[in-house]
Amino acid sequence: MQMTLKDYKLLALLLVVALLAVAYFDNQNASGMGVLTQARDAASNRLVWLDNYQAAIKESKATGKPIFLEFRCAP
Amino acid sequence: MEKFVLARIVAMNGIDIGLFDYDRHNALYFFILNADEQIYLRYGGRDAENATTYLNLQSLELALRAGLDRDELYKQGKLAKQPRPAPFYPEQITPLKRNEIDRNHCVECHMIGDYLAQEAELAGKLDRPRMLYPSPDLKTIGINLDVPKGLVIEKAEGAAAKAGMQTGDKITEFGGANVLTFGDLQYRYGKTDRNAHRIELTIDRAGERKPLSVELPAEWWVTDTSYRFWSVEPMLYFTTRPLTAEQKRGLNLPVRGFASEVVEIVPPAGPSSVGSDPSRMLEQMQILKPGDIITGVEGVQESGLTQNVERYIKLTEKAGDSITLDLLHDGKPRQIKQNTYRLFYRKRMLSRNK
Repeated sequence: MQMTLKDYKLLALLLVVALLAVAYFDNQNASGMGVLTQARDAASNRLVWLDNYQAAIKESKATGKPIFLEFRCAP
Repeated sequence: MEKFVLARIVAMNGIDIGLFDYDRHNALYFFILNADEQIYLRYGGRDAENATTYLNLQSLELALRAGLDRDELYKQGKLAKQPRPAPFYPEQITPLKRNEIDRNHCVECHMIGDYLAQEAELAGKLDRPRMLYPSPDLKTIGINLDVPKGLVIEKAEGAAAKAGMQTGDKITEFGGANVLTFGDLQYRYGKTDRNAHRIELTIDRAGERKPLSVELPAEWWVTDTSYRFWSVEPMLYFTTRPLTAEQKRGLNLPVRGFASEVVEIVPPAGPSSVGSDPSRMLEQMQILKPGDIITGVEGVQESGLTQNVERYIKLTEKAGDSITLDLLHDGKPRQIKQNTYRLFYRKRMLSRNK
């Protein structure tokens, strides 16, 4: 079945409604930590591993943090 | 972890392996250092039984905390700056460069150790006790760690117990250098001269600093190397069991010699260098039989290196060498020639380097 322009418009409308609904329920979450907020925080808390030694040195100089350097034989 | 810059290196190309020196047959190895490339500590290391014997979350947490403490001391100027070792890069290992780097291959950690050993062997400079057995097992001298607690002793036996080590002691120094983790301790132990007779440790016992001098037993550096899947050592067609001192006396053989009984005749492990001449291999296997007593190798009956005949051959002969064995065959003295072989992949790599 081929989708018509009307079908695309309907699909776009449904997507907007779905996003608004998620944002609404997120905002209404009793703890103030809705699904979206949690997902965003989880993403920001995810540890970032550099894969370049010189970049790690540069980052360490910039932040003053020591480096935890892992050598892994198999990727 | 968020207090650290995290970096994961999976290819050794361009890494200063002079600075990041460790036993390359660890699949995982960690360093904590600062932007001045001052290494505070190592975390990692293994034994022959398991790659993770000394790795767990509790000891990792201890290491991370120790790393942060060291960093604080360094920032306060209370930690002396260590001289940087001479830079050394994988690109300087000729066969590694030719076979891997120039072909745009990723240089994996284990390749460093393998190619260094190959290069040394080809140059006739292979220090076998050190290079084939780079990480002696501390349990051999009776040091059994309570792993989640880092360097705290769970049980002291043998040489360590004889030196006065006790359960609950915490090792703090090796040869006068601070050790914070098992990785630190194993690294320094691995650097010990294989002819050494003692190691000097400092322990903390209930807050009191105490030196301990541990007498090293014979062949303290020997470990099972089977997990090191590449090796330059010669492979043999037989396994043996050393004779007891009483059995040696009964046969008028040196008590400290490596006289051993042949236990089993074994076919090559995988394709071998003798594969091209199976009839010769068969012939050799038929001459030597279980129950034969090997009394000497190339006329030598004892050596300060080892009392184990198989190890003596691995330490003194090149893979592929033909060796003369002195035997008691059906109770009668006899001399035979035996070939050794090299595992196929090693043979291929070495032949590429010639």
